[in-house]
Amino acid sequence: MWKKLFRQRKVQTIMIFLVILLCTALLNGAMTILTSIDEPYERLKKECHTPDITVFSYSEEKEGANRLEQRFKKLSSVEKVISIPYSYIEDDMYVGDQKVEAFSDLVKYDKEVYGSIRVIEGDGVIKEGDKSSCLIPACVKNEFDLEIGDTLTVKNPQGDINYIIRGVFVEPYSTSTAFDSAILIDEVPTVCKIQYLLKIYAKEGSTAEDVKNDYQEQYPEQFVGFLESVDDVMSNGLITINIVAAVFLAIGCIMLVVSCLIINFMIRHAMITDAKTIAVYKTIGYQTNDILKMYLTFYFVIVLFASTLGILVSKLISKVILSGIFDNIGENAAINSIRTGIPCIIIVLVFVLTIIFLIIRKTKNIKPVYALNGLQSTNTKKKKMHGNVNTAFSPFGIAIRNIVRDKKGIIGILITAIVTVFSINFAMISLDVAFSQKEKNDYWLGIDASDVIINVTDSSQYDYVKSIVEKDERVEKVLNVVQDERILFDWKKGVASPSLSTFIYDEYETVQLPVIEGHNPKTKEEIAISTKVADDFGKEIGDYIECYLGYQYKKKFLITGIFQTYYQLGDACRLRSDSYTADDIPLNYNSCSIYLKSKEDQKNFIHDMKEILGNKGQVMPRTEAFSSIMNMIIAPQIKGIPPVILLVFLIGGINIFCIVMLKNANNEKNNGIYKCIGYSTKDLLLSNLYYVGMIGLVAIIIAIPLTIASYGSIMSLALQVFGFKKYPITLNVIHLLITNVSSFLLFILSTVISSRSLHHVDVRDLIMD
Amino acid sequence: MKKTIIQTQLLCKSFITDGEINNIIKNMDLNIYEGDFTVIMGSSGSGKSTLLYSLSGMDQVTTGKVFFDGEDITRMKEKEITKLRKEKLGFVFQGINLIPNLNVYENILSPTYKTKKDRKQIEKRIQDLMEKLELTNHKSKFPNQMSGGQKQRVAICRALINEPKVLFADEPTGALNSSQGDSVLDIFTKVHGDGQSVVMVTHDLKAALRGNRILYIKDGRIDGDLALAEYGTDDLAQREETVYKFLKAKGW
Repeated sequence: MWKKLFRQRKVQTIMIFLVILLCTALLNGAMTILTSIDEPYERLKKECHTPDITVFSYSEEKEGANRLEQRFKKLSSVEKVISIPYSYIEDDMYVGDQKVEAFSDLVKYDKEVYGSIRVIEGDGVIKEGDKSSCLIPACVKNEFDLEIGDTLTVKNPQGDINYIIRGVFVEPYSTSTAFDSAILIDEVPTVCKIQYLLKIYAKEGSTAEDVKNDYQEQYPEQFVGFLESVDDVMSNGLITINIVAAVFLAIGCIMLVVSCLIINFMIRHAMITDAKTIAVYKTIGYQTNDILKMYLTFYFVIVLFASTLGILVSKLISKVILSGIFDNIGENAAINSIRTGIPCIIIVLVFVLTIIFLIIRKTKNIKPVYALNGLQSTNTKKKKMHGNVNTAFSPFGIAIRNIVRDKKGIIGILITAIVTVFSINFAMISLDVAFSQKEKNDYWLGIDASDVIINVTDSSQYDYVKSIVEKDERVEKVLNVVQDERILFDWKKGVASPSLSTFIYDEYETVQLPVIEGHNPKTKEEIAISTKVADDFGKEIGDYIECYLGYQYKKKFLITGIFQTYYQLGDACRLRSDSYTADDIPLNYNSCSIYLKSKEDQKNFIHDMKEILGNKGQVMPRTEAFSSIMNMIIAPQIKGIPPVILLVFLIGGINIFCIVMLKNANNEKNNGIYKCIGYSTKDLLLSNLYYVGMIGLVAIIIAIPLTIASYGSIMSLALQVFGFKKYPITLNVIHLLITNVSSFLLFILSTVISSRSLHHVDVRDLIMD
Repeated sequence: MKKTIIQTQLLCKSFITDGEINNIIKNMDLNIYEGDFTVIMGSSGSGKSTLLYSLSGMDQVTTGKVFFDGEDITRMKEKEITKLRKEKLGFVFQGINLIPNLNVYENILSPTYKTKKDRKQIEKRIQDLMEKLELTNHKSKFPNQMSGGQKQRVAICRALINEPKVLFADEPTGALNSSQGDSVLDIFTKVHGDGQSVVMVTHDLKAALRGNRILYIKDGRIDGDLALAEYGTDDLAQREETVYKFLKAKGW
């Protein structure tokens, strides 16, 4: 019997089907993203026999690395430690004219460590003595579109070093250009600053955490190096994608709830129109449960089919977002949507059917005698409407009256409209913020907003480079900067990280680096720390923090400011240069921040400086500094947000369509009366347009400030992992205007399409009634 | 000589039911005269209501022509039909059909949208009608606060607000009890007395007695056309007997 319901409810069926399909696609897309990544990473980890921990020794002497190696070897939780020479690539890398902007190390190919890497293309081994070949990680190949046979040039003050790319590989420590990924070579050239990596394998049954704890217990002192576990590296690489997926999930849930509200209205309407049919069923002996079963089966079938198709569609969404990640780990993006799909279908079915059941169960209240005779009791006192004739009875007047006199009915459409506009604005602002993040990398990374940066890796060349820059007439001022200097801590229990990345300026009064609390250091005894460090170390302004400068000089600093940054995933702080120089602690500037008199000179200035300085310094616009970090943050957003905007648009449009369709269906009789007394279809359509238009406008007026006000808080919450407490909005007024005009037009279009039924309002039906 | 206000020429109206053509009105030629109170009667399914929709432009005819005040309404586009409904005809339904979210005053006022009359004229017209139909005290009430008879009086008032050429009524007392029905019929008689042309479909003998012409429809054709004196000008019993005999002869 339930199949018969399809005949009379084609439009309702299609609408419920579409809304559930899209919501499920969004929800399962997000769930698939969140759950699809771990397994391939685990597989990769196993396949590559990956070391549990990598330690980057800061010591330039082999002895320093040896000392660390011996300490780790002595730990009961450690099976073996392998020491490998490496050199952090501080200067530019090029393939032809293309700059390869990635955090990378030249790492000696060690068969014991890299013998099981996953080979994607070409060779997987560097032959002993082959000084001209290298293997690159897939993340570098994919981001810069490199090919086997390309020549990778590593700039060095002592002269360029060239490698032919012989193979592309994947291993868990080299899956993102935002973190140190390994370029495998035969031997690290002596012209490079050689340091050592310790690859630590935990014993069977022990974890990286056990090794860390063991080490902290046995050696609670300064740790001259940086340590990361394979799980830390993998989760760091997935931070932004997880955030994007979490935001999708939130939007999907909101849209599902709102859509259920609309489905509720649709079914309520259907139940009212079906009251007589239900009454007839009752008079011929059907029990309430039989009728309930009939309707529930009908809606169950729709929701089941829609959510199943939604699961298939979700695969496309997750594929778009995950493809980049999967390419970087050499997986074929064989996304399994079914694993999350089945629970997702169950959740959607239970949620939607519960809401439907709550309405349908009211059929038990239908009494045949009342329903069949059209009896009902109503005694609602309503307000009087004022206004002149032409306004009160114009389509505008009818719309106003419908709004004023049906406040309950308006809530559903208003909530839908606000949520739709909010979601679209939220997604659009996210996109604008993402696009502007590179331009505003000073804020996001916590560097100064100069026009040009010159990184000087050979400290002996710094003064020369600076003098060249200062001589240039186009330059207004040059700031001495030390980027990524390391300060160390006594690494004992409760200390989250053995070292922090430090930015050092001579003074901060003229630099104006933003802080969210307090101020940047004003004296050599002061320090500003990031929000994440403050949380991890449990410190606040006014507290002292003890650390080692230059790896050995123990000093105590007063915390005067707290700032936020994406740099080093938030593990950063700021010091003044006199904190070092006043105590004769060695410090070498490695970056010039250059402010030009005119921004228009930037391009020519960079060009000229590159010619003059050659290998002595990397010249770049400030907006390109640390671009691999910014790419890691931005890329998933730019990939993921547009499909979400499209889905939200579709769901919002369908919801508005349903609301107007229901309104027309509910008002069919009234519309017939209006037609009888001389109103045209156009008048009724206009009245609908005014009705939805006014609600749309109110929704836009409410949603825009709501989005702007809540955006920062929501994003700060989503980015807690970086310790972001403030998340500034980049408002592009033109985009905001286009977004909201589009939302408005979406409402109008949905209204026009769903109001086509007004043409079919048959006056004759009214008379028959 | 009476002026013809509505004229049909070879009017046909068919419906397709289960794939079969069902001819409801068959080649009907009919004149409705200005100032008459024409009552259309007939058995169930005879086509009387279908005829009313066709005459009033509420439904499209299958073939033939309907001239309303000299204009062929079968060729009119929606815009013209809308204008006709607004300016030249009023319609009273059996189901009353007031707009539920408008009060009495607003319901009556609603058809005046886009009319050329000024506000004062409209106000006066409403006051007069409400007084005549004893609605003045119910001005602010909403339909759900009124009895069926009161609501039908509002519906008549709304139908008359634009001074239509013809007032159509489809079983106007069908949903009312006896006393409410009488009061509504009194109103029809009163407005007809003021010169208003009325065309009313009914199967109620008491209602039919109010007219001065009774058309009897059978199988989509006019089977009888009875002229009566104006209501109240002759003996009511005599009038009832005449109508009863006429209807009985037609197999009513």
